[in-house]
Amino acid sequence: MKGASLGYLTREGFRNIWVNRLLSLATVVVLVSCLVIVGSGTLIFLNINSVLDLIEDQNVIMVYIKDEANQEQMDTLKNQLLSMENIDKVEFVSREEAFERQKAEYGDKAALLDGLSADILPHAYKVTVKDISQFDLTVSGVKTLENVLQIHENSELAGKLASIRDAVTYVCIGIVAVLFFVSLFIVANTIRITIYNRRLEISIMKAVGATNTFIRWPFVVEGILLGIFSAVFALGIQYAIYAVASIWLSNIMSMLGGSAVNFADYIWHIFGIFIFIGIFIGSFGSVISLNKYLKEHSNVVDND
Amino acid sequence: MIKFENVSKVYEDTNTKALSDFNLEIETGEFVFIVGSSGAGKSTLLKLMMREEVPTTGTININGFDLNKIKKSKIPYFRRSLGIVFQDFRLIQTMNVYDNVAYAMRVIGSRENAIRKRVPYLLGLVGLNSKARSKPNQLSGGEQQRVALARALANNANTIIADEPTGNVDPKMSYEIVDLLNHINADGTTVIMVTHDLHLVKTFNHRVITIKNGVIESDCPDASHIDVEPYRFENPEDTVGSYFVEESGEDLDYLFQNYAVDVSAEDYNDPAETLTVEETNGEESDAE
Repeated sequence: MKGASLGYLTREGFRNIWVNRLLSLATVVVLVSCLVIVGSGTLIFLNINSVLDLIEDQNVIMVYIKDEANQEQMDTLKNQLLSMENIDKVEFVSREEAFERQKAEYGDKAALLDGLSADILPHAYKVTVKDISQFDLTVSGVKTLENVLQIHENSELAGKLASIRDAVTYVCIGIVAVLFFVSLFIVANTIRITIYNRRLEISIMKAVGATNTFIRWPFVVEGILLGIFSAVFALGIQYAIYAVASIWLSNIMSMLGGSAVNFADYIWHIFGIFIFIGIFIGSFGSVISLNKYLKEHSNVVDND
Repeated sequence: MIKFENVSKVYEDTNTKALSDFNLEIETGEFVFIVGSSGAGKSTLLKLMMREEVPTTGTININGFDLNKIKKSKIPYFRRSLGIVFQDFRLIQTMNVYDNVAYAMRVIGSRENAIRKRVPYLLGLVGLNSKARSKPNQLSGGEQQRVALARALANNANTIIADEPTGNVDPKMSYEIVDLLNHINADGTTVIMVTHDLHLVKTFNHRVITIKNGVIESDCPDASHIDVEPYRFENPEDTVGSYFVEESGEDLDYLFQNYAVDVSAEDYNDPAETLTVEETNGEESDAE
């Protein structure tokens, strides 16, 4: 396709949006609605994830060290722990620290510990895992290491958290996928009306010998442009909705010790998703509708 | 050249036999009227000519293209050798006359400078330079059909297929349109005109092919066998063909200004130039 023709057909795409402005508006409204629902789903997912991160941070493995281990062996153990794949950080908790914490936990009844020294407790490493779904595997790995006296872990909580995260992820992906196809279907149908409105032009194009690539191009340009417009509008609307929603979201999150995800941190990610979905659905919707039209209805002699 | 050999067409979905054992040969430069009642097979014949349908049996060869073997991707290039006009004009109402004609060139990828030369020339040819900026709904039926004819000629088609071009216009305008087709034919373009108007056929007295029930009932070199009166107008010189002597007025200036037309006014009126302009042939019409 030559530059001049490409330019003309691209301008036609722009012109078509204006000429068929009511249908263009309908397409944009449908796309924006779908994008905002997708965006809201993504933001809910991000917030649930951040809650899960908070809880996960509290879910640690306590690795108690044998009394006979010397400093060098303890360091080796720490390095071995750190070199394990799923371990995020390893923090040393001395027996004195643990004893003090124990006393603090006993509160008024701390006197019970009088006469005892910190020596009754072992030194320990507080290990935080990266992926909670690999929790059991990591625990069994830690157990095989030398100088490990005992392990204290809460695999039940870890398991629950992992399954919640999985469920949230799958539900979100499912919702996005369903919405994606729903949008594609609606946009393809809206564009089909546009195509039907312009059947005369298509019929003339075919009669004078325009190739299908030439016939498709203005519609694809139109689809892409509508996708971009929709993405921009959707981002603005999403921002406004989240600004309102984050007020009560922050209240819930603060009860859990966290805060609502900041929209600005994810603005480019969300815009990227919107642009991608907008352009893809806009152009693909056009191509689907037009191919179907060119195959089934587009006649030269009878223009019906 | 157009050649149909033993062509038959059966629509399988309705099991209708539209054409059977159809043999036809039209030489380059001929003017042929195709007549027949509704349902005779005229529409199928045009669909086969435009390669919108393929024959059930037999072979079709048009302008060097074998329509049985032509690849789908080549059909648009084949169609550029044909220009088609319809009874209902099929002009785009949102575009002015100039853009309607230019549209046919733009959508096959012609260069803008070629369009700026060719369109005013074609509008001059059909006598509508003064209406270049009018919208189709501001024109009479006859004028609209002339725009459609200019559009059909835009890509240098060597064959014009006219599907009842006079069906929506009064007898005088019908005469004008066929008179114009006659002029176009005189310069070597093949013209195939489907019509119901036997008076016109009689008036212009060209080869007449009559189709009935999907077969050629008769194929006569002239209209002598048709028993109707030809059209007669009181002062044909005053009313008919007057668009050919159109002077370039202020609207031509409009074309110069708005479309940067870079050909001289003589180009429009030079009869020798009529329909022999070759500035927009294949190599300028890249489609992919």
